[in-house]
Amino acid sequence: MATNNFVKLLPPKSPVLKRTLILLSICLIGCLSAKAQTSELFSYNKQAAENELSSLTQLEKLVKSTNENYNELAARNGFASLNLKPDNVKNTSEFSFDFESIHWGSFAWGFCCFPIGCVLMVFDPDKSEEQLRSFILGVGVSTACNTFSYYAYFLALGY
Amino acid sequence: MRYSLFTLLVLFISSSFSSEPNTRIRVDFTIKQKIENRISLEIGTAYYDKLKNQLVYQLTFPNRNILVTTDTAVFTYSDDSLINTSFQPGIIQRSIFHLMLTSNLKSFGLGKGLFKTIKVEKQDSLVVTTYKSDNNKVFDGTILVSNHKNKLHAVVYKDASGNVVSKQFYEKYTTVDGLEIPTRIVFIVFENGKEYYKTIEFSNIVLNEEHNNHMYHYPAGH
Repeated sequence: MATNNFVKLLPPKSPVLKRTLILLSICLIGCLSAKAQTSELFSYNKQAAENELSSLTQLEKLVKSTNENYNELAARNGFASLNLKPDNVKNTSEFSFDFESIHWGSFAWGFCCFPIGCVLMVFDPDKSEEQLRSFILGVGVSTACNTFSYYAYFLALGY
Repeated sequence: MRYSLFTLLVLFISSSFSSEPNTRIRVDFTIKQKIENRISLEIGTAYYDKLKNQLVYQLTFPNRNILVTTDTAVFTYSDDSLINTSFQPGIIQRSIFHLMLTSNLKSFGLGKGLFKTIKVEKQDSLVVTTYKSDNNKVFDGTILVSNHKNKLHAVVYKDASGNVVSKQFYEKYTTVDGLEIPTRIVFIVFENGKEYYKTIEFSNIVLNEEHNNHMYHYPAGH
């Protein structure tokens, strides 16, 4: 009986029903895209990261096997075996705390010392509160839309 | 009766040992980073004593240096001679080692202090907590911390416009003396439409080491 009713619904003759189905579809797509954005937010392309740092992985293996430092490796032209130019490899390990270093300095950049503090420095502190308010408003509207769409979806399913 | 008392005594002693706070951590680390054509690799060992409140890095690459981080400065040594001093505000309390030893890694150390929780929600298998600074001059965006199976999974920084500017992923957890420790951290910074990667890997993790006192207590500033 329920199946028959559902089959009757498939070719919607009533314009109201058609509009309802379209609205539901749009809401459903919205929900799915929101979920996709969430999973995307907390994931990254592992292969891209591996590829980007592959030359460093090779260098790491070499350094760990020979126990050499930068100068010793450069002196015996060891970088050439990895197709690396010594000039492109950082050769200092001093801390420096100017803005640029905090942003990009390999030791300072988000390293164990201060995973929070240094990233905070990256941001521009002069952004207006208006922008933040708009963002929070957007999140609120999106949540409301999602709630409505879920409600409509389950209502249509007869729950 | 005697057997029961003995069992209780054993349980009490074992629980006393297991609840003993962790005060020291030693890890071997490797840091890799690439920006445009320039790469950097740092290899060494980190020593942190929570009670001493100083973090010591014994580097083997690129140079055999020792960096001593205190709450006020970073001292760089080469062959036991001080070669550089950089003054900076207290950062030790924010170190990943401190967060690990104080069991605050899960919240990324954001639950108290400058940041307040504005939202907690469940998204699939993740629990996502959104934090915002009380002081917009410190940071006017939001920080989203996601936990998976009660462990820190990722941290996402958004600016005030809601744009993602940086992500961190905490992976490959291992358990050392009951403490869950991520052995790989991936940093991604988004800038000018590009993604820049950096990884930190930990190995040979030792808790509450009784040896190497000279490294944990390296005389800073001399």
